[in-house]
Amino acid sequence: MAEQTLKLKQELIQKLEAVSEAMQLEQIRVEYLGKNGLITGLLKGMKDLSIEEKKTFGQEVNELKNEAADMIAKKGEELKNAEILKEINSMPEFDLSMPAKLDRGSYHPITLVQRQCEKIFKSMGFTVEDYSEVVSDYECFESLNIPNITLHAICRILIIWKTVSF
Amino acid sequence: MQDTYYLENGQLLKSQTSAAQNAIYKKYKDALVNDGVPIKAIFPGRCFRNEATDACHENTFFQMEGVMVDKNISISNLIFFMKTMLSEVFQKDIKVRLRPGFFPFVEPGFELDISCLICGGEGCPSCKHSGWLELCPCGMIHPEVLKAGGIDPEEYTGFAFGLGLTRLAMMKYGVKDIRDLNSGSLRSLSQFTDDE
Repeated sequence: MAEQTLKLKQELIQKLEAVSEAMQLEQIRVEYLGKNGLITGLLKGMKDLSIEEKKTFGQEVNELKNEAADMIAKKGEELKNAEILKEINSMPEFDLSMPAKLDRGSYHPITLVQRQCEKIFKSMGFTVEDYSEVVSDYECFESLNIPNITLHAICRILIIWKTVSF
Repeated sequence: MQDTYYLENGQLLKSQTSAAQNAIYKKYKDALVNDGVPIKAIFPGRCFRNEATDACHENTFFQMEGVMVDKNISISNLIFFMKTMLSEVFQKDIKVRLRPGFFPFVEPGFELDISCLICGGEGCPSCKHSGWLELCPCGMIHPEVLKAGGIDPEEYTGFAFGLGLTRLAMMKYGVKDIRDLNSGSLRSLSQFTDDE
């Protein structure tokens, strides 16, 4: 009986090698592992065997069944991978690592000069400060020793001068 | 000041980067007094003046203010720093000279001239045959200004300068009209490349 299982196994291996499509693989799976498949078929002849023989043969058939299932699953995975590879190869080629050709624009001349000056002064130990564009009267004039002569102040002086002179 | 833009809340758009001086002194005076760290700072910024625009005047322009405060700072320090900086910017040896000038926040105050970049000091139409170009006002910081920043003028001295970044850029790149710089014209702006 061991010959039978061995024969079936070799047949299966040969057939699997020839398979190139998922459909064919499914057919083979049904042929061997299906309800009325060849491997199940082996068990039908078992009733004529002695108890001892039944035991060993049953074990062999079960092993064959598991092996066959493994082989078919493995083949199925191979087919799937091959299909993915085929799809990848059929795509147009891109080189994602290639540097892109971008028009990067240019800096404003004032920015260039400012950065250059900052670099020079930084190398001489200066810090670069940033300050608000909106400031108070005190910061812009009074703290810098510039007398705060606004229009109001001029009017006030004129009024005082007029009252005094009359 | 008549040429300053005032806001409704009484504040104003700074008409000179010197407006930051007071804040800088207050920020660093503790380090100066306690640890003897000299105040060395530059502050580039945008300035606004209510002016009619023409080839050399804009209502929005860039300045860079620089201050240095420590014990024993003198005019020779000022000259050294300005000369080093300008020689670096223009990539050649630049001669500088100081002319007396009046600015309320410096005493003594100077106008700093540099040797003409086009003729090298021999005299040409662009420097009005004098060989010198006026570049920036500078001077030794006025004692009142130091006092307003909380620094003792008896002990410390310092120099300050106000560099016109816009003018510097015009000189460096040969831009004839200041209005080109703020025009947003891509055709002229895209010619400048980073040469660092």
